Amino acid sequence: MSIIKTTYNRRSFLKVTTLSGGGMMLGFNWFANLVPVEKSGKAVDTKDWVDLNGFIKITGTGEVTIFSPNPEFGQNLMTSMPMIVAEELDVDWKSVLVEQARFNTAVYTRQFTGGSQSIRQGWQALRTAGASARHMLVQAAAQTWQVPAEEISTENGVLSHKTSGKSVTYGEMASAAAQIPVPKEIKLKDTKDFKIVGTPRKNVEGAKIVTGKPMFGMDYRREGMLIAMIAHPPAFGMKLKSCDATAAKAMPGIRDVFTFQVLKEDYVKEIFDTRTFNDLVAIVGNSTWEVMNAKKAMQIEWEPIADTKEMQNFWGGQKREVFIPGGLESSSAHVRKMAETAVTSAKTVRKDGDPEAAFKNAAKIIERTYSAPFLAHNCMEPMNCFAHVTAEKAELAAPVQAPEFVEKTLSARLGLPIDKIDIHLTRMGGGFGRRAYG
Amino acid sequence: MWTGEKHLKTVNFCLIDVSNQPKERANFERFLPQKQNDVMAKFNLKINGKTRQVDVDPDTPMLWVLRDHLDLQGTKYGCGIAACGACTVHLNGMAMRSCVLPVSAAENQEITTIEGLSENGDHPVQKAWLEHDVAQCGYCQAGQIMSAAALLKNIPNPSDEDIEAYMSGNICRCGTYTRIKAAVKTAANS
Ligand code: FES
Ligand code: FES
Repeated sequence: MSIIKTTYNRRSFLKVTTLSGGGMMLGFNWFANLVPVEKSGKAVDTKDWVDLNGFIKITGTGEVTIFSPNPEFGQNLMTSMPMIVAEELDVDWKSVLVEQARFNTAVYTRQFTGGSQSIRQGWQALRTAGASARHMLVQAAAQTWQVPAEEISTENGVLSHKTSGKSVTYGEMASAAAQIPVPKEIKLKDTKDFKIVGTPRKNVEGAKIVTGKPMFGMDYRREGMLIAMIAHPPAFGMKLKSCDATAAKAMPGIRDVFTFQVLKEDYVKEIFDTRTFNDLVAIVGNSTWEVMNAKKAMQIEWEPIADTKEMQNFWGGQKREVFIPGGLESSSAHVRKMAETAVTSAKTVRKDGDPEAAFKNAAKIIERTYSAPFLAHNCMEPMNCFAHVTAEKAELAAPVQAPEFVEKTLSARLGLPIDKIDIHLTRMGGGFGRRAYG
Repeated sequence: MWTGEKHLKTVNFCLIDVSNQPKERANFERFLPQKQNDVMAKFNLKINGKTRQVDVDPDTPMLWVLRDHLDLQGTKYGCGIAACGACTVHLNGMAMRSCVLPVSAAENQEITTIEGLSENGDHPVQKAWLEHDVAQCGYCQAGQIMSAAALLKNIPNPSDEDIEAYMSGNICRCGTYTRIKAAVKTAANS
């Protein structure tokens, strides 16, 4: 059993509120325990709910909803992250509803799915949030029943007091619990008492998936929306040379065709900004099929790029120069490059034992070379995004692993402040790292 | 319904608008209704037991008729060239890649999509899929389920080889193949 502080620099990363119509809502920051307040430059405990990215909602009727903040692309953290909350909260997993939280940020590094980090980074905050909500429910019951809190036990969303035989559901106690101050520190369960964590639980979105409910970025619809497709070079190492849209523009259902720069010339790229294909062609029309046909009718010439150097913002705010070799990239060029690199002397990073002696004394030495082609992080769901951009704001619905990177790049590209960019997170039809790049 | 209209009355959105000129961004004139010489035709379709009418180019693949014109987004787009299986529907009970099935060839035929496979999501294949928790990202699964349902209609008790052969046109980038096979067997036995 460990005791966890819920405060950083005297500020709590939890915030409670009463739901209109009865119940409690506990907001918390999944990554608060990782981002020191001094570094983030903003207190966690402000009146602004924007600071909180995870929520537990318990309504008066006992409905428990856990808002899962990280984007989902099939690794099931929309199931596993709420499981951690539910474990400490002591609720019946079957009765828990899970919803994708909206992406809503101004300051923190968070809501990023990638690098196998979500559970590792969310673990403590998730447990702390669940345990805190449970603690507040227990305190509320102790006050109502006038009994010591230590005598109250919780199980499957019910509070009970053995000696008096009293028991009540979380829902009935939720409004009272919302009046209890958020605890400054909290005891977490002993891991040997876990009932949910460590057990297999099914994908909370399973039923929607097998019935074909619209949930992916590609499925997003808005009245009056148009469809756009991008024509981009057929291979890495190529760029736009010329483009004639006359035929395409005359085709049925086509509204416009234009070339554009993804990023501005003087923009210093962030680490997750796409490096290739800055000049693209967009074909805009009424329906996908019409746009696809017009794309085929486009007369576009591509040409190889020359060697390029550019600056990039690297981790920790340092800048570094990135070299992009000219010409086409290919698997055979990769193999050649590997062979060239293999004959240069290597740097020893780690050395265990005495490999030279082991080879010398080996009865048999087997040498083999294995190679694999370049494997693209292609996703089943093609890259896509809904965007509604006006002079004042940008609204997106996007299957992205790293919405905060997208937001930052968009802000620079559109000249809009971050708080004027709103991104709805949709389920992703695969991510694999590809969708971490914008 | 935006998709059913030939000309849009209101345009409040553009999929991509990266112009950084505020004036340009606010200028939606280019999106106002315009005269077109469309080669549209009306088609009567039988989809999930209902008759639906669309007015589209006869070459339009069923995939886009379903997704763009009939608001049935359960059928997925993966490749558009009959190479991935994400768009699988049933045409008279047979598994069919809707991305290469022109609407003109589908008229008056029975089309079933994932939305119409069962009324309450309780087709044996859907139930088996849930039991085995097959989906990862889920994007390929509508196609997988439609293929599996058609397979079982043809071969009620498929062998491993039957399953592999029939399902080989459905790619799953997340790699859920072993669970797919197990779920097909469960569905066959139910
Ligand atoms: S979208 Fe039809 S087979 Fe890939
Ligand atoms: S579940 Fe992701 S592609 Fe199959």
